[in-house]
Amino acid sequence: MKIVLDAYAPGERIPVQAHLRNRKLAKYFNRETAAAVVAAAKLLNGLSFDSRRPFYYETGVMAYEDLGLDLIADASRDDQRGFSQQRFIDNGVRAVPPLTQFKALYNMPLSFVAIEHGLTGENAVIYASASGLLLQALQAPVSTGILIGCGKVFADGGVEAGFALIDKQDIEQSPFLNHPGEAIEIFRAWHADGSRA
Amino acid sequence: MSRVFITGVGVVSPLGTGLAEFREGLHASRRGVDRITCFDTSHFPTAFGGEARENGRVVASPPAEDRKARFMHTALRELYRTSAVGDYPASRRQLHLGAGIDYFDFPGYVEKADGTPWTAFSQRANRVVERLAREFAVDGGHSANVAACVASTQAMGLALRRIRRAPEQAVISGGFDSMLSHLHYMGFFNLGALSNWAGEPAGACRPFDRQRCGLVIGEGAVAYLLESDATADPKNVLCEIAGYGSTMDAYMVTDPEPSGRHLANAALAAIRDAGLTPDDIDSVDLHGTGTVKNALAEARALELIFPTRWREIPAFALKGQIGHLIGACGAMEVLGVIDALREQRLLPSVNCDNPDPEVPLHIVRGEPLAMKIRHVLKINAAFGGQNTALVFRKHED
Repeated sequence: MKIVLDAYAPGERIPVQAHLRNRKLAKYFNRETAAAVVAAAKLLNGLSFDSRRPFYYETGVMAYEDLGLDLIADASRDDQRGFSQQRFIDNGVRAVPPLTQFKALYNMPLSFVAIEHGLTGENAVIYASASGLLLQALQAPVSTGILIGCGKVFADGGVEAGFALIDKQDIEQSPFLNHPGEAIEIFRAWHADGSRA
Repeated sequence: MSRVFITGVGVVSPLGTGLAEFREGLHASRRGVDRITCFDTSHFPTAFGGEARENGRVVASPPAEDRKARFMHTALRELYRTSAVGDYPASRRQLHLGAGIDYFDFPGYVEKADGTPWTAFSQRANRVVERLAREFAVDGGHSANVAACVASTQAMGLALRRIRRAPEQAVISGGFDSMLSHLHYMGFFNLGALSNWAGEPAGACRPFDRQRCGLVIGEGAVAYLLESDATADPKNVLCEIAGYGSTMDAYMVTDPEPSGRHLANAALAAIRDAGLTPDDIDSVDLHGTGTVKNALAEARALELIFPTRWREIPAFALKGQIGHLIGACGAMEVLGVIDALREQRLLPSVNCDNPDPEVPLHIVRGEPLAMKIRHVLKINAAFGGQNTALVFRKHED
């Protein structure tokens, strides 16, 4: 098994530009997507692999937002600091660029990693579930060379992302198959065990 | 390998709540799209939506309630009331659902302004699934797929494979979503994705029509009971799920890959998974969002899947009637597939009044098309470039 686990402190710059073939894509990224793109690049760059390999991603519950929510809210308040429907439409929705919508969609880390590495195979995006991610991988149509990844953004803006190439036998007896937590915990455990890319 | 059957349904949709009301609306070609009333859309530049209905009326919900959670709860109640799911012990029940992005009470967040964190105004879809699993005694495992417009069909693909590997299990699968709220709705508007139809709301979503002009957001929930041939009572079988495939375009997050080759590859994978060839497919249930590019990509995909008969194979799409249910869309549209297999006829796709010559598919229009239907291919594609395909087989009594 090969794994990459990256962690970034709150406010720490994620060096995504250095890992992108098309650097213009970075404008679509929230912190989770940026961290995921970097971690996937560290795992996959230089490897020769079938672009149709299965790829499953788990996105952790987002506890931090970099969508400009406060900008929209401030622009949507009336003079009494209440919500104004008209100001929401006239000012609020224009307070952030339309591309911000991409930062709110949960399948974007998977989509951008797929674009960056030309991955065109079987896929899924699971929400906040270690067991769900492993269950999905166990149902893959192949037994080896399955790509899994996850990302987690914490309330303070710290972020972790993990990617691994696994075989089904790596996970068939995993205690995380019955674990109620998020998938980043799997990667921490594997990383602590020394399974590194 | 076990065969997998759909043996029960619970549904909340723009055509109605409960399978009977849904079917009545479907057969009548009723339009579930109208001007939005479930939340305040005053000053909105457009306000078309496929709102969930019960007994003909839009389902009301208190402000700040996550409507999609309510819908799935209602759908599960119907499923438990009308299917054999209650016959399985809790340890042999699983719940794998597709869901949209989390509900966010934006007006509430703006009004509060007292330092309450934004997360207090958000309701997590994964928590909804966890809560439903507890309430409906599902102890065999659960998951929420959030792959946008293919979330619910990916969840059904997972359910299919789970039962093939563990035929003693009963899996509840489907999807639930509502993006009829301030931020979600206007987010799609800002991307230029929503229909700008100038006519009556019922005509706003026009899949494959020459004047198609964008999608209309819908809402609802559908839950299916999936059982294996080892455990299902044959008299309960609605249809068989015979194959599944998924792919990614790896192209752009905004547009479908124009050649349709990866969507076609998903379909071909599902057809192979079903042990069939494309010649065995009698009809196709299309994604049919009502956008210009979607129709072109689906036509190219059908050309690749069915090289000699892509213009002739009868195809249909439901979004003209119900809108685009995003995280629940594919699973909800499977109800149209089940209806076709059971009734041996295809219902017309509404609002495709003037077929686009650039999309020379055989979209069923005007009148139902009676025909022998054994296998239906269902395809869906997501904002972000993910594709799914499912193959359904008529259950032979």
